[in-house]
Amino acid sequence: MPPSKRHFFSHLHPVMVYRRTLSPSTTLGLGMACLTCLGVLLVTGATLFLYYTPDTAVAYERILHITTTLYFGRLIRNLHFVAANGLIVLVFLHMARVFFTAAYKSRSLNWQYGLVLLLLVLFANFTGYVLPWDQVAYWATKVASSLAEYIPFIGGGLRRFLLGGSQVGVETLLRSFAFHAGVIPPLIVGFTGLHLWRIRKDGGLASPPHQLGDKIPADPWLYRAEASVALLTLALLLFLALGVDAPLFERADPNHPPNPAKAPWYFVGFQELVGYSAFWGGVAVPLFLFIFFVLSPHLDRTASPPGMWFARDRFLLNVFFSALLLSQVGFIIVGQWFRGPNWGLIWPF
Amino acid sequence: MPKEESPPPRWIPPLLAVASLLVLAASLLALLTGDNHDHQFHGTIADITVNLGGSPVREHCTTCHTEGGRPTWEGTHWMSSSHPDITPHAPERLGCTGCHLGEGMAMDRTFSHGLPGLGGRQVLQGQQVQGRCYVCHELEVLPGAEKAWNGYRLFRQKACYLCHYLNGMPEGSGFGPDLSHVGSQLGLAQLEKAIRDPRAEPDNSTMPRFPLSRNQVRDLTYFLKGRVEAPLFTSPMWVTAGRPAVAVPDVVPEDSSLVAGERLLWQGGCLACHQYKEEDGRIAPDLTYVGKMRDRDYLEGFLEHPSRLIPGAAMPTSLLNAADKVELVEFLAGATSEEAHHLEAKKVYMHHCQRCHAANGDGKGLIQPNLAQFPRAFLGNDEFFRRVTDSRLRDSLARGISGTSMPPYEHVLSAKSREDLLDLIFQSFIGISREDKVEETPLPPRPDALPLQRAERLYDRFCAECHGRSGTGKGPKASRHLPRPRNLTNAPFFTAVEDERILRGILNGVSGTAMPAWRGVVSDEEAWALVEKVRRFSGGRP
Repeated sequence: MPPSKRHFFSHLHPVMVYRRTLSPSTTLGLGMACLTCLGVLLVTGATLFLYYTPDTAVAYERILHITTTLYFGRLIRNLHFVAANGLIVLVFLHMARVFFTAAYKSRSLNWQYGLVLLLLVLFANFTGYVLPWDQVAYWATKVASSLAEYIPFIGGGLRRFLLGGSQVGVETLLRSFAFHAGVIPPLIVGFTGLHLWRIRKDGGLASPPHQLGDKIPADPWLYRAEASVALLTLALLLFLALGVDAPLFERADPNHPPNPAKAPWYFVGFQELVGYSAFWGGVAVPLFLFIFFVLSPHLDRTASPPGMWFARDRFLLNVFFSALLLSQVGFIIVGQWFRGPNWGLIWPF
Repeated sequence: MPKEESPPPRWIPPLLAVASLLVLAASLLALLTGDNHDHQFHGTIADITVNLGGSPVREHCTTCHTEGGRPTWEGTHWMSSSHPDITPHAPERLGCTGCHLGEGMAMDRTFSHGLPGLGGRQVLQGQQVQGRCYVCHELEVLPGAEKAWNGYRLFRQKACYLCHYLNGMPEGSGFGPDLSHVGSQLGLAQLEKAIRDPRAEPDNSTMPRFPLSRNQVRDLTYFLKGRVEAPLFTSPMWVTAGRPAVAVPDVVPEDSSLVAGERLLWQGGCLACHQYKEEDGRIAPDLTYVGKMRDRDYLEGFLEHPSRLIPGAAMPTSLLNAADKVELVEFLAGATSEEAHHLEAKKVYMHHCQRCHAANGDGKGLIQPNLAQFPRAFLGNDEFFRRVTDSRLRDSLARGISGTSMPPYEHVLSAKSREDLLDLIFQSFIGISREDKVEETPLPPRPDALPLQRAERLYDRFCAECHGRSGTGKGPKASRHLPRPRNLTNAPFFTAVEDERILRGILNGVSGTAMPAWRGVVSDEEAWALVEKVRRFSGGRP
C-alpha cells in the first residue's frame, strides 16, 4: 500500500481481509452496531451533560427543560435513550453470536474484555436510569439496589456504595451522575479500544481454516461494509428516536411507591426470579451466569474450529446457552408485562 | 490457487448507498419534525425567575399565559386574557407556580400542567388556588381562603387529628398516616378519592368513610393541599421556637344547655364518629347508654387503650387530658338515659341493634365496616342459630360478648324486653323457631398428651392462610371473607370461651362464616392440640 493511503484506521484493520469477513452472515455486523450506539451515546450524552444538574431539587426540572424547551432537546434525549437500550440488546446479541460461532476459541482474553464491557454497559444504563429523578427512576433504582443486596458478602457494601448511604437520595443522584458521565464512559472507551485491538492482535475475525478463501483489500471494502452497518444502525436509531419518547413520569416521591415497583427492564428477569426465591434469583442464578460466561472459553473442549455457526459437536453447549438466554428473556417478559400490583400475575391484554 | 484478482463483493456499494440514503432521510425527518415546538416560540420564551420564600423559582409559564390568563393562539402570537386582580399580591412578583403549581420549566402542555397520577404538581385553577394560601400564610381566617379554612374546621370537627398527625397542629396522633406533607404528594382529585372512598387503596385501610357532603370533601382537600413539605412562612426562628400556636376553631355548638361533660364529647372528637342522643357521627357505636352498659373501669380503660378491650378496634386513643377523661367518664357513667320498659320489640331492635346488625338483619349495618368484628348475621343464618344453645344467646344479649363491640344490655333492657327481642329476631330474620336446635355430635375427650408439634405444622398448613401466622386473623386470604376470620389473639374474647366451644368450631366449622369443618382432616388429638394453640395465641383461659 502506498504510504499516502495509510491513515488512523490502518492501525485497526489489516491491508487485506478474507472475503468471508465481509459476508453479512459471518458477524451480522453486531459489533459495529454496538460501536455505533456507543458513538451516538457519547455524542448525545455530551450534549445532555451541558444542561443537566445532578441535584434532587432541580434534576427533574432540568430534564423538563431539556425535553420541552431546548431546540431538539427531546430528540437528543430520545436518541440517548434508544441508543442506550439498543446497546444492551445488541451487546447480548453480539455475545450470543460470538458464542454460537465459538469465536472465543483461543482468544479468551478478548471474550473477557467483552464481559467487562457488558458489565460496564449495564452499570452505565443503571446509573443513567436514576438521573431524571422521576417516580420510575427513583423506584427502579430502589428495587435494583435491593437486588444488589442479595449478592453474598459484598452485597450490602455494594448497595451502600451505589446509593451513597442506605437510602436512595441526594447522594445517590450525585454518585450516579459521577459514574454515568465521569467514570464509566472513559472506561468503556478504553476497554472498547482494547477489545478492537485484540481482534487485530488475534488475527482478525475468527474463521474456520477450510473456509478461508481469497483475500480482498480492506480499503475500501471493509471500510464500506462497516460504514454501511454504522449508517443503517444510525438510521434505525434516528427513526426510533423520532417515534419513541424516552419515558418521564411524575417527580420522585419517596412516600408513594408505584405498585408494583419494577427494576429497569434488563434487571426485571432477576427481580422475577427473586419473586420465586431470594437465594436462587438473587444469588445463585446471577452468580452461575457470570461464572459460566467467564469460564466458557476455558471449559469449551470441542474440537470444531472457531468461526463456524452452530458447529455440530457444540450442539449441547449451544442449546444450554440458548436456554440460559431465552429463560432470561422469558423472565423479563413475565416480570415486565405479566406482573401487576403486589407482584401478582396479571393478563396484560 | 490461481493468482487471479477475485471480483470485489458487489453487494457492498448498493448497501452503503441505501444506508446513506436512509440516514439522510432520517436526518431530514429529524430536522423537520424532530423539534416539535412551535417555532414562534423561538426567541420569545418567557424565562422568568421569581423569589419565593427565599428560593429562586424559574418559570416558562408566561410564554403561553402572556397576561396570566387563559391562552389563545392568534395568528402568530399567543395571547391571553388578563389575570384577575389579586391585590395585595402581585403576580409579577409571585410568579405562577407558587400558587398554581404545575411544572414551570416545561413548555409542553401535558408536562407543564402536571402529570396525572399522584397529581402532586397538578395545576390549580380558579377556586382551587386557595388550596395554596396556607403554604405562605399561617392558619388563620383569610379572605379568599374561606373554603380552605372551612376544610380546617372540618378537620377539627370530624376529629381527623385523632388519627392523622399534621405538622404545626396543637395535637395529633400517629394512628393513621402523617398528613403533614400530603399537599406536596397528592393532587386534589387524589385527596378527594382518599376521603370519599378510603378503602379503594389500600383495601385493608381502617379509615372509615365519613358522611361528608361533596362540598365538605372539597373544602377538606383545599385545606390538605396546603399541607406541604416546606411551608414558606417557616422562618428559621419559627422552627427554632417550635410549633407556633395555631388558631383552633371551636367545634362545640353554641348551646347553653350543654353541660361540661357533654361539651367534652364535642371537644374530644367523640361525636365525629359516635352517636349520643340526637347527635350522630354515623361511624361508631351509640354512646347514649354506654354508662349503663359498661362500668367506669371499662370506660376509662377504653379511652386509654381501645384495642386492649376490643382488639382490632379502629378507635384511636383519646387525646383528652387526664382530668377531662375522668370528667367524661363521670358524665357518661352518670347519664340517666332511661329506656321505657316493655317497648315494642321492633322499636327496641331499630333503636339498639340495627346500627350494627342492619335493619334487615344481614349484619351489614350502618357502622359494620368500622367494627373490629362482623356483627352476627341473622338473615339467612339459621344453620348457625340451630347449633347455638338458647342460653348462650340470652347470655350474649344480657352480658355482651367481651372482646367485641357487642355490649351487655342487662341494665338497659328488661328481661322481658330481651326475650321479646330474641323472639322477634328468630321470627323476622332467622325464620326458625327458638326451640329448633340440631343434636350436636359428641366431642372427643381431651387426651392427656397433645401432639403440639404436629399442631404447629397443621396450623401453618391449614389455618395460617386466613388466621395469619401470628393468629391476628389477617392472613393472606383474610380479606376475601366476610365475616373476617377470627382474631385468635383476642384475649378478652377467648377468656370468656370454653375449650369445648373452640374445639366444636374447629371440628364442625362455624356456619355462616368461612370456617370449614376440619373433622376428618385433623384427628381428635390434633384438634385438641389446635385448641391449645389458640389458647397460646390469646394467652387466656376462662
